[in-house]
Amino acid sequence: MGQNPLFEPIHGISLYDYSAANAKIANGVAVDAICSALGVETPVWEEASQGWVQRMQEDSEFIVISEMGTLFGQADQHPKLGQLQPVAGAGNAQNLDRLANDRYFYEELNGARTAAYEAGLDGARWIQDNYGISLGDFQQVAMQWMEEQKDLSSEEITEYVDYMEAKRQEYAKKFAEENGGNIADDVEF
Amino acid sequence: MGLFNWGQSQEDKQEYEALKSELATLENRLDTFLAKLNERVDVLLSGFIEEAPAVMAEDDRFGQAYYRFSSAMKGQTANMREKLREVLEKQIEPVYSRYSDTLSVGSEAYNMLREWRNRCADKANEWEEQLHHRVEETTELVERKDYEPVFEEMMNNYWQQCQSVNCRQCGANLSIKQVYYYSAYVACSHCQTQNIFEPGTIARDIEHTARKLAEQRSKHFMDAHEQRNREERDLYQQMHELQLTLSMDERMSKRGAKYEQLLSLEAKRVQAENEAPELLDKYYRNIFDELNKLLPDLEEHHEKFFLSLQANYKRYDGKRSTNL
Repeated sequence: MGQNPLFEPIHGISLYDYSAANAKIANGVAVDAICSALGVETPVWEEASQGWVQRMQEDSEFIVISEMGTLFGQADQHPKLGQLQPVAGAGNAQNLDRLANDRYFYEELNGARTAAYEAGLDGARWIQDNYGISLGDFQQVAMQWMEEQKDLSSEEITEYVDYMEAKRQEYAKKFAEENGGNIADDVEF
Repeated sequence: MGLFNWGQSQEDKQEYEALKSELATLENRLDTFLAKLNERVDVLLSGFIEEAPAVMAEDDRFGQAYYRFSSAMKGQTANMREKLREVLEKQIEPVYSRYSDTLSVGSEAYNMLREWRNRCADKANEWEEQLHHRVEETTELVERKDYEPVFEEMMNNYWQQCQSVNCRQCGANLSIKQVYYYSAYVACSHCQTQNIFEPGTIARDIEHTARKLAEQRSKHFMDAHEQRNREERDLYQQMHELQLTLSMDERMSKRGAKYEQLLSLEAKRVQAENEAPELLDKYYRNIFDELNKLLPDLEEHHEKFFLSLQANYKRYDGKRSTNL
């Protein structure tokens, strides 16, 4: 990876800096705090960000975006940004730990999030409100499960996909009840 | 029992008629069910068309409210699809399984049962396709927007805003002459102080809007590309139907009026198949030509982006083998 010019830092900002910073921003950490931790001013950060977006667009093999996904999931180990927390403080650590260690819980929240969007709700907000897990944290854990998925058998993957779908249906029913039902609930065969 | 052996007795005929009547009743119920679902689709989509402008008008720059609104509409259509699948699974398939296990394969009753099941499945598939088409059409209608005035207003606002940006040190006007899409260092030409210019959210949306406008200006190529693809599929289907009517002699000798017709269709099909990717290429090239005109400072990046995109869509270029 070191030899590929697509991975050269932009204004001193490496892909790891950029990926970890985005994970933190998605978690509610302010851009000013990111810049301060990286030791750069906002214009440098913004030009570098723009540069990384352009690199991804110019990369027909998708290697930059793929590496970014991996690094996004390692934001908490980043030497300068790892410890940054949003002003409001960390989310629900217990639920976050469960999300990272219990695949079924992760799939349940995935299903719930999809069902929430299909019910016209903000799915990410719903998870934040009910489980104290921010979008950024959720995505970081999602990257971790995606990495682990490479080692799963097709049966295991199917098991998780089916579980998520069952949960999606369960939550869809719940949200529909809360919203007064679906438009075609009374249409019978 | 006569029903399963299919003799010509009075009892067999009665059982055949009873089965026919049961299947017809279920099929009628399916038709009524689909018609009722269609009424709900009408209500859903007309409500969506009516309310979407207000949702969009109040939305943030990322369009989150509209995203939730359209997701909810799609969620309702997904729910209707699930209802239909459940009907097939619980009302149609069990009847098919119950009789197909006991009827003799190839018998008149068995054929009737099989055709009935296929008809029901076709009706369901057709309904789903129609629904998909209607949702696409409605979404396109609601989201259609003329990006020419939007982009023009955006650029006017940007340049107007630039006129009033002064040096934090000496107060002289910074005379910004280029588009900054994000905050940037701008040196004062009078006192050389480095200022940080924050162009605001309008500038951050310029690139995205320029892309939408470039796509809009290039749409005729995409329409022509899709039209050629449809023609190719249609010609292939016509060829397939014609091939089924060829005699063994025509097939073997590769001669005769029908075979000539087949070759003529194939020539048109190949032409459409060759033109479709060329038009797709023109579509993307035109987008980037337009982008270069709209945002000339990004030309170098546009060219690299184009090559990256091109490498990707060319990967999926495939030609049909017809073996005539």
